[in-house]
Amino acid sequence: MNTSADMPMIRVREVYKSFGDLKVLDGMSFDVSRGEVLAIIGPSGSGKSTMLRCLNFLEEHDAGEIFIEGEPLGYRVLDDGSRVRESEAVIARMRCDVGMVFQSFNLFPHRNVRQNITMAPVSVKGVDKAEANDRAEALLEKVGLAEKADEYPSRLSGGQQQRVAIARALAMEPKVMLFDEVTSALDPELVGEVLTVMQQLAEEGMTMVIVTHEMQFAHDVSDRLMFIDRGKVLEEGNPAEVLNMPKSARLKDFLHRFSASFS
Amino acid sequence: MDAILDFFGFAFIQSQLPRFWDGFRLTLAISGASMIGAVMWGLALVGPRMSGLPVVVVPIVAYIELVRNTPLLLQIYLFYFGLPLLGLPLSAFVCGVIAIASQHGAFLCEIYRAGIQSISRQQWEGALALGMTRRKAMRQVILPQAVLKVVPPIGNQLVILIKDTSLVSAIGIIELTLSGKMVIERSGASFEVFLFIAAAYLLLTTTFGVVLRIAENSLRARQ
Ligand SMILES: Nc1ncnc2c1ncn2[C@@H]1O[C@H](COP(=O)(O)OP(=O)(O)OP(=O)(O)O)[C@@H](O)[C@H]1O
Ligand SMILES: [Mg+2]
Repeated sequence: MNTSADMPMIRVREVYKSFGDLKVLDGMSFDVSRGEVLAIIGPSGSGKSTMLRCLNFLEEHDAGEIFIEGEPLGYRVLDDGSRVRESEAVIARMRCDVGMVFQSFNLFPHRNVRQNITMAPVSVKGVDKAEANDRAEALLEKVGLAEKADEYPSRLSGGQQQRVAIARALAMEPKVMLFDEVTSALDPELVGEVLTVMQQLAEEGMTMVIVTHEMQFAHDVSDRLMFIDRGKVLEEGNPAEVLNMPKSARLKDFLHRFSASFS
Repeated sequence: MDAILDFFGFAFIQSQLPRFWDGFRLTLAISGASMIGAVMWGLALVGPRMSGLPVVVVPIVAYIELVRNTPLLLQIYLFYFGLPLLGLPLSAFVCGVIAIASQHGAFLCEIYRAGIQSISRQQWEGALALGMTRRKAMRQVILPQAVLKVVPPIGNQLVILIKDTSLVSAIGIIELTLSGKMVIERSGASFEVFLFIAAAYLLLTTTFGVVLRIAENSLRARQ
């Protein structure tokens, strides 16, 4: 039987994506199982962000299929091989299950922290306002910002903003969380507080896909690590093995820049 | 002192106040009606204008360019003399208001559009990633931010609108400007009268500017 419990949380099959003449995803395939933390590393321009953005259909793949818990994302492929775009309502509903945290936070500057967190649960899922507020308080507690509920985003540090962004995504109770270089825009001393929150989430069993340049963090937190280059998966496997025993010249080259061993 | 007041025709202006008052009230009425019309018309246009559907976008762009790039006076004549030919003999007042609202609505549509487009793609993505439809994202995330940005340019446009109401004097509406002209024709006291009329417009536009500033600040405070 095909219950959702047997399905991988995310299944990516032969996904292609070009921007004009530039081929960015060149036949990507991988699975992410329930509760797994997958880290994606790769050189700049290799297609990491594009792949991640395809996982909630902010970027629309040209060919191939993506499934979230077995349900096709964005397009349905018909028997004759042609595909039909899903309606906006269906796409929006699927995005509720896939939380995303951006490098640039993308908080809503015209709303305070609490309203940033409750807006989508209330307007999209119809959650009762009082309940959404309670939940926002709990999430802020969790990310260590309980006292900031009434602040506006512009009055927070980058690290605090990013933790609010994580809380905002979690408020939708997603099944998967996507992180796209969420510490890259932060001052070095603020990186730790965000990584701590992510680590805690991983330990709680959240399914996560993390694009990062923080190799040590990827090593410590992920269950599996994937190196992509020019839109293809070049190596993947146990993080320690991939990082300490790279097989391809491309990965050796890439890791050389970080010149550290990972333990 | 008396000599100075006399130089500005103070006593004379005072004697003509009832005429000016009628004109002033008409200018107020035309300004108010045209403003409401222009703001609504601009709102009605901006959705289709940004729909991305060529069958809708092309005619709207053509219309906007046409009314923005031809004289308003001409458009007032067109409505006033053209509509009766189409079997719609509307009053001069209504024709004037329609013409002004039509042109300024087109300008406002472009101002609204610029405001909406000034909100970054990241804001859209933040909203969509949370499962909002484009409609919800527009209403809850994009528009509230865009509104604040466009209040000042909308204000500028509406000040121009107030001044443009003087053009309906061309189709015989005795608003502020024409009431002045009629007084002049009778008395020949052109300098004093025009100065007085200018002051009346200035009063109108600055009052409006202050009201707008207050509205903007309260909007900002509420967000
Ligand atoms: N919307 C777009 N239009 C055109 N080209 C794009 C677009 N988005 C990405 N690209 C290009 O696609 C390629 C892959 O981009 P992507 O952002 O996925 O790389 P990345 O691996 O995330 O890189 P980085 O580490 O710098 O974030 C780059 O060459 C980029 O310039
Ligand atoms: Mg990227």
